[in-house]
Amino acid sequence: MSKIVMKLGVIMMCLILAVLLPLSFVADKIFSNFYYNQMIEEIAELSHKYAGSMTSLDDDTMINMFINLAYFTNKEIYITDDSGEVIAHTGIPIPLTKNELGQLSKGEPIQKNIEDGENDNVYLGYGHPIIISNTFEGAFFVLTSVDNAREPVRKVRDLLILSAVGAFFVGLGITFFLSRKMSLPLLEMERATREIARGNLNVRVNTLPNDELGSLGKAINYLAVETNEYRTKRSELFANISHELRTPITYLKGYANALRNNLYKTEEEKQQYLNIIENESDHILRLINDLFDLSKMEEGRINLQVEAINIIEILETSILKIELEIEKKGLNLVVGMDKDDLIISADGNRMEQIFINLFVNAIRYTTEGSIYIRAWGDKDNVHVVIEDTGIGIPEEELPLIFERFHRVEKSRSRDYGGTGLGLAIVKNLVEIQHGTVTVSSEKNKGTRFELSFPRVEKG
Amino acid sequence: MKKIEWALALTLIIFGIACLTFCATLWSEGSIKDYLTTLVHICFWTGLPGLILGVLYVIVLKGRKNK
Repeated sequence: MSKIVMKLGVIMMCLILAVLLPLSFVADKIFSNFYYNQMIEEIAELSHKYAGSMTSLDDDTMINMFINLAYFTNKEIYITDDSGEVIAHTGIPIPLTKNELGQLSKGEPIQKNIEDGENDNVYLGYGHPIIISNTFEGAFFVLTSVDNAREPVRKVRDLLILSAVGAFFVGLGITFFLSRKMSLPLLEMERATREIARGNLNVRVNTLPNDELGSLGKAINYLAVETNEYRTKRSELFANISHELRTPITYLKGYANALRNNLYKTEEEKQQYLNIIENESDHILRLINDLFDLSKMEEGRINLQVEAINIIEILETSILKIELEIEKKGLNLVVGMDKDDLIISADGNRMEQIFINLFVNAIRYTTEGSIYIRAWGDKDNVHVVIEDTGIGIPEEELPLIFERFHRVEKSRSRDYGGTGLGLAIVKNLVEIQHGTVTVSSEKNKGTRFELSFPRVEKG
Repeated sequence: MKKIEWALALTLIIFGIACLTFCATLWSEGSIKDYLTTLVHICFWTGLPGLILGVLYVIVLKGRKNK
């Protein structure tokens, strides 16, 4: 049996005993006191009636009748005269003390406990004064043995103990059942977390009650899913990095080998090989820089020079840098921007990096048509849209395009170039500057990125 | 819960209820009918908290579904 079940069971049993034991004690006390009170009331009533029915202390017939009556009712009696001397008794003659006599002569009843030394017995006694013709003539005492009362009280106590034992066993059975049931989800979670710690991420908690324990179970399941996803993504990342590095390095090795072994025919061909080596080296450098940036962003270690900047100015600077590329490719550039300043709180260099990444993508995937750049502001936000008439992105790929190394058409990745990290960097940079980026696209019609940033007042 | 655990819990409960019924009927008329009536009463009082909890649970569950 597990420790938690034992602990729960012991705590519940302690609670049951904490209630049962004092309750049994109180029940025993109530019954004992009630029984003794009943006995005292009975002998008080008898002594009162007997004393009241005495007409003369000299009438032996009457006294004998009371002695017989005492025998039949299983009580002891004794009768005293006005001086306290016992004139008749059934075996326990106890003379009255002066105080008792004084109390009785005033007409007051008295109660006393009497020890019978001969029989080693204790009696409860109650006496009433005998008043004849308004004169105190003596006292009539009725006694009952305490031993007579002890026997039924003992029997009742035994039954109370047996009932308590019965209740204890019922409690034990129910406690065992409840502690097992209550600890079941906890035990399952403990097993699941142990399995997760060992690396088995496919394990799930199945017992999910509709309470905090259920919520904890769901959290463990979620943790397992997330860790599994993280592990898969990490493996994919390593595979992607290896893949992305292998191709340019293969080029570098091949062309360097060709140059070393003079496998070129003309000087022009040699220059072409050197150009390829330079381009591939740039590609590797870009890839490493992008990876480094992305890793810093994800760890929250990137330093941003945040200040109030006019997004129009940043856009104009970025457009200047890519205008030549657009012209080379024969594309139209359509720019529509608000004349007012659109001020946001951001890092100017990083904003430029975002726009250039998106412009480069638009140029890369557009063979003919136009690239539209629009910027406007409303009361709370500044919006920038970069739209192209390029090859577009299939709908099912849209949720994945911001992931690292995700390429819509993997086989053509080298045709279009790029590191596969541009959009992941854009999303991270936008989000750490409190903005949002959304994408919509239609295959062979074009792609539209919309960026929004909170607007701030100038100065 | 395993079968042996169910059996253990049920044995303890049955034994306890038998003790209680014996105590309650020791000074009664001693007929089988009296014993069974007392047994049913004790079972009722033992199960009453569970019954109340069950009813409350159903009420709360229905309340949530109606919301």
